[in-house]
Amino acid sequence: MMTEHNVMRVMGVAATIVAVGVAGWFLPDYYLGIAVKALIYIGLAVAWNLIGGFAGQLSLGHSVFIAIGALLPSALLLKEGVNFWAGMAIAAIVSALLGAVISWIAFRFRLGHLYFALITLAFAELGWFVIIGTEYLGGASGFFLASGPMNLARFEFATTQQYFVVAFMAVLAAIGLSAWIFHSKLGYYLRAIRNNEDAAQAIGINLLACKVVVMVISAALSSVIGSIYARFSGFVDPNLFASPLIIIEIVLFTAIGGIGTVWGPVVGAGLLVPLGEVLRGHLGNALPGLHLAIYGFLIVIVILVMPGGITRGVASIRKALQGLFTKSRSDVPA
Amino acid sequence: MLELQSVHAGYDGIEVLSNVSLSVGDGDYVTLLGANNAGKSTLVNCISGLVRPTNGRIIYKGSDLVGVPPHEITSMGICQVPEGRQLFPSMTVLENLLMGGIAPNARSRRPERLEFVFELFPRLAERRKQQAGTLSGGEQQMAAIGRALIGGPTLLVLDEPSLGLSPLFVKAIFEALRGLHQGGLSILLVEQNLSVALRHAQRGYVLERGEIVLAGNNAKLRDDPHVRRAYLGL
Amino acid sequence: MDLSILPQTIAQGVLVGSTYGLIGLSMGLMYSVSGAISLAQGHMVSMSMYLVLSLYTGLQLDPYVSVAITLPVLALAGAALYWFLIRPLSGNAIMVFQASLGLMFLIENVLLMIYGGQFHQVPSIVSNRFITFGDAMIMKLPLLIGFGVTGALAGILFVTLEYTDYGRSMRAVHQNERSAALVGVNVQKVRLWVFAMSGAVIAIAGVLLVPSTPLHPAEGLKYTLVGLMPLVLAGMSNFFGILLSGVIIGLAEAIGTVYISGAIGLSLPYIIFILILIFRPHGLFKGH
Repeated sequence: MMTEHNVMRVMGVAATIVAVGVAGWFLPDYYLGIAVKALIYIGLAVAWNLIGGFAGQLSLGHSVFIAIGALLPSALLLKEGVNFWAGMAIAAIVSALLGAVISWIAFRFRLGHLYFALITLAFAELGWFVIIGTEYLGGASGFFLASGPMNLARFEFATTQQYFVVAFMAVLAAIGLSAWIFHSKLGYYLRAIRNNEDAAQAIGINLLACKVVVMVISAALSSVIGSIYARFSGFVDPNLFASPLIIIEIVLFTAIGGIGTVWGPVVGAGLLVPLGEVLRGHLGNALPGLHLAIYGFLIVIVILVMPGGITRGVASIRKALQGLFTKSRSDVPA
Repeated sequence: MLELQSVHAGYDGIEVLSNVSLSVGDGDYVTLLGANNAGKSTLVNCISGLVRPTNGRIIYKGSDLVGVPPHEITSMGICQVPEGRQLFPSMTVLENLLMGGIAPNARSRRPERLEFVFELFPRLAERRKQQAGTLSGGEQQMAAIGRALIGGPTLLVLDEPSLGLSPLFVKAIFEALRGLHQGGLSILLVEQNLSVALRHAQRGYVLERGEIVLAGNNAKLRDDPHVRRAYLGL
Repeated sequence: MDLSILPQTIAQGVLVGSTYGLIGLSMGLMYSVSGAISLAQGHMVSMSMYLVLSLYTGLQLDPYVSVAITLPVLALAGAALYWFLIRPLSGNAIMVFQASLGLMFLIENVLLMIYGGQFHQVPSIVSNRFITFGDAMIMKLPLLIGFGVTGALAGILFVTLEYTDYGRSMRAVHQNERSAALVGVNVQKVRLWVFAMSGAVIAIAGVLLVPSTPLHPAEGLKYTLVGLMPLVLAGMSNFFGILLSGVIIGLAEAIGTVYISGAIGLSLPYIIFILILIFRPHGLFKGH
């Protein structure tokens, strides 16, 4: 049922989307570049949040899917002349299959959340070695993707504005998918699994199937966003795309925003990527590492102060304020 | 010796205990009776410091226990035999007993107390090298009581020691408790098995939905029509 | 394949692996009493190694001497980790895990700020000493020292756990925290001490690695990983299993580097790790 509250909410979201879109369009190129990067990381965080947040399985192996998405279409384009769209699709399928294999290995036995994180971290490191050792995928030096005039059929764009539009639409689609999964039966099952695996199993939820399915979706989506990122970067550097550091960053963005919520990864990456870029712009030349040290420090502080992430923190503050002002009213929340 | 003065306690804003007052005197054998979910375990946890009362005072030998951490309460002489035994499963019986005397003030007297426990429950002496997790329920209960005794309690708090035990073991354990009481130990026995509890304790309290509804010596409790109906099925 | 260097390779793997086991042990110690893991342990190893570097450049202290300083410092750092991170998050493993990812960034980049991004080397008087066994094996002295120290630590740990009140308290907190508190264990204090111990083990691992390993701020993640794999293989809190699994990882690394070229050789430890988990998902030391 569409209550007044929901209408307001939908309108608010729509207004924000339009505002971001319009603002993005008029930003100077430097800031627009940051905006595109932020959008891409929002996309990656949203993709990770499907398995890491909704299902509560902290995967640190997603760098492998991002790397496949970035490197495989580039390799296919440069070495075989395969259309980038087709390359993206192939990479997504490869990532999905790999995601199925990894999650099957890890989830076959219920070993707990920490175990999954540790095992997938080993997969990330293994993937890193394999990728930098595979000449076909660019080895340790990666690829340069030359950019020409805009050509949608070949997934080529010339200006930052054009990339902004592409990234923005991809992110909207990713958030849409994420919201849809969240409210679907699968999302409900996943939350049940996250909260209590025994109880979830007891009511007849197939734990393995749910986890593998969501891992496959998450892997494919990560791969697609990785492809867009590669196109935008131009230089497809395995030290960026295949390093476990990229996934650690994404987990942190999501953790700061609020793991397991639809908007947590959006808020987290949307705030932290620009912050990181600004810090780097102002402090990066002064003392290498300072901006990342501050960054790490802030993350630890936020987790200590708002353990559920910013979205939950803000929600509870709002609730507390509401409670303060409406104590006399005896309405029941919807 | 121990006195609870209008203790309130609960979790997440839900009150489990409201206005509970009771006392255990020197050398008393007191029982606290109640059904499941009456709040018995919360009460026991308040005494041992695992749960902090939201209101009220717990006076033991003249000082207030509220806010004192569990390990300090133990070394002050209140030792607990928790519900479900709660032994250290992959330690041997001997190691479990040694853990009972881990408090700094109890360590020097461990050898003699260990000997005392082995005399009290010879079965434990036989099984001293066996892992606690592999003992039978009754043996585990003996080990749990033994562990508490090695701490050198002046007040022994037992949370449902008869739960899930065969009548033979129940008998053995309560005989041991009777001996301990006769030797001067104060006992607070928390039970839902009324017939057993009232056969051994001198007086008792009945806890229902977090409140003390009845108190008195065991004859009074046994003859109370409400108790007879609700707990003894008579 | 040159089999004549096999004994040498195996010995090398065993020796290096024993240090990896120590890193895993430091994680196992913290896990056993708190149920949480900090992924920044490898960065703590880096921290201790750079501390050794500073003590060498500032005071000309040999690494094996400077452990007298790094050990208490890292023990303090371990205790601080418990007090300021794990305790406020009340041991929530997922939160601690996330916070430790932030800690990784913090430590790595503070090291980068202080020491810069180039590789450093700290020599020890024993760095270039070799011991020969028969005619087939020549071992670096630092590695032998590392192995000896690990063995000695394992012995001390065993005796502590089995025969002292302190060790029994540790096991008690691991097996049943509530009961531990009820029999009179100061659970908070035990945790603090064990985290300090975990830091001390890190300091020892750092000192043992220094003479044979160049230092770089970005190496922290690698140390985390080589510690993590033995930890998982041993089922998280079997301390001797962790040390033994460290040797397995060290062996895989040595054999991979010597006998298998390229990416597969470098990633052999990870391949072995994943293979073991496929066939023995509960680790090497549990019968299932």
